Amino acid sequence: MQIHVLYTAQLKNAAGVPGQIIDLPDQSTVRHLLEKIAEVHGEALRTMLFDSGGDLLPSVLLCLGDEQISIDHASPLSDGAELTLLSAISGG
Amino acid sequence: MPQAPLNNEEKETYAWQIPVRDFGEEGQERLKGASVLISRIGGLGGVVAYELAAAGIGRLILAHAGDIKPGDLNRQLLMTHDALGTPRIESAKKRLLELNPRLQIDAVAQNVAEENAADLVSRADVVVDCAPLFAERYLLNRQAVAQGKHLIECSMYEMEFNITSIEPGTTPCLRCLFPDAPPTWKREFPVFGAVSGVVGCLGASEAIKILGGFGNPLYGQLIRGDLRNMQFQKMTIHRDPSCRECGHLFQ
Ligand SMILES: [Zn+2]
Repeated sequence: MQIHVLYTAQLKNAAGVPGQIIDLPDQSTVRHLLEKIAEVHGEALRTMLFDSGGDLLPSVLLCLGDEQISIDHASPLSDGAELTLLSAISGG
Repeated sequence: MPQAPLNNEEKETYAWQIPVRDFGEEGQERLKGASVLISRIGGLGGVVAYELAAAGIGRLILAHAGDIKPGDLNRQLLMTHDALGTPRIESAKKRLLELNPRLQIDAVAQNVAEENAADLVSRADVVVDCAPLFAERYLLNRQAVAQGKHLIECSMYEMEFNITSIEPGTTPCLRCLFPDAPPTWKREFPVFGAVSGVVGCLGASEAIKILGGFGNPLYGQLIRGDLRNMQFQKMTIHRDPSCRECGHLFQ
């Protein structure tokens, strides 16, 4: 199946693209998707998504469609779903 | 929130907004009786302050340290070229009073810190977070949650912005959404004044609705925008029952 991924702010810089389509086996979950993204982009993005223990960093918020979702969301993703990776940003 | 009666000059000044549906003279009296804390009045907070001064807020508590630098002038609309090297807070106060001489201003030449956060938040009905440092943002969030004050979270980066409104005990707080700051955050980041202006106007609109008692503030919702391709998304966000700041409000 194909999942549309959107990156924001610093995550977009690290990914080098504003978004992309990721191919995944059927029954894949949000965590599978994030691991695949980290694998595709290497260290620059991995270190902005996961800590050294493999947990999602607390500065990243995930939205599936228009709904915030946990990385541990157990339901498999559906083909054509859209995941947004939001990064904490600030003012100035 | 307290209401303050309008005089004739004020009725004339706000004649274009008093007829706004569900707002009316009562809403205008609420704005006049209200106090808003804005943490930093740079690109983002300066626009929030200017719009709230224009709308007839009674009192603004403004916290911002330091002197005006050339790099401020691409976005900090309360600062002027001829005031380079002078305190930001003085320039901001002058510009706001030129627009609205009835406005009461608590001009604090300090940034939000451990020592002043509780006091600054206690003076306000609504807090607007426009600070660049996550330490300041988390301090404001802590005090807003502890004191039960509405907090409008405005942020930006490059051509993008995020905004949400927090009602402690009802909506997620900043720590629910982002329990910690990004590990590699840089104090200076790319942004245009037009971007800080957009999110500043959105933040001011949220404050006006919350204080005026009308419309639907962004409670439990976050809008992210990317002005590079004019893409906007409104997301439903959730509180974290284990949040170290506001989790206890839900037990
Ligand atoms: Zn919370």
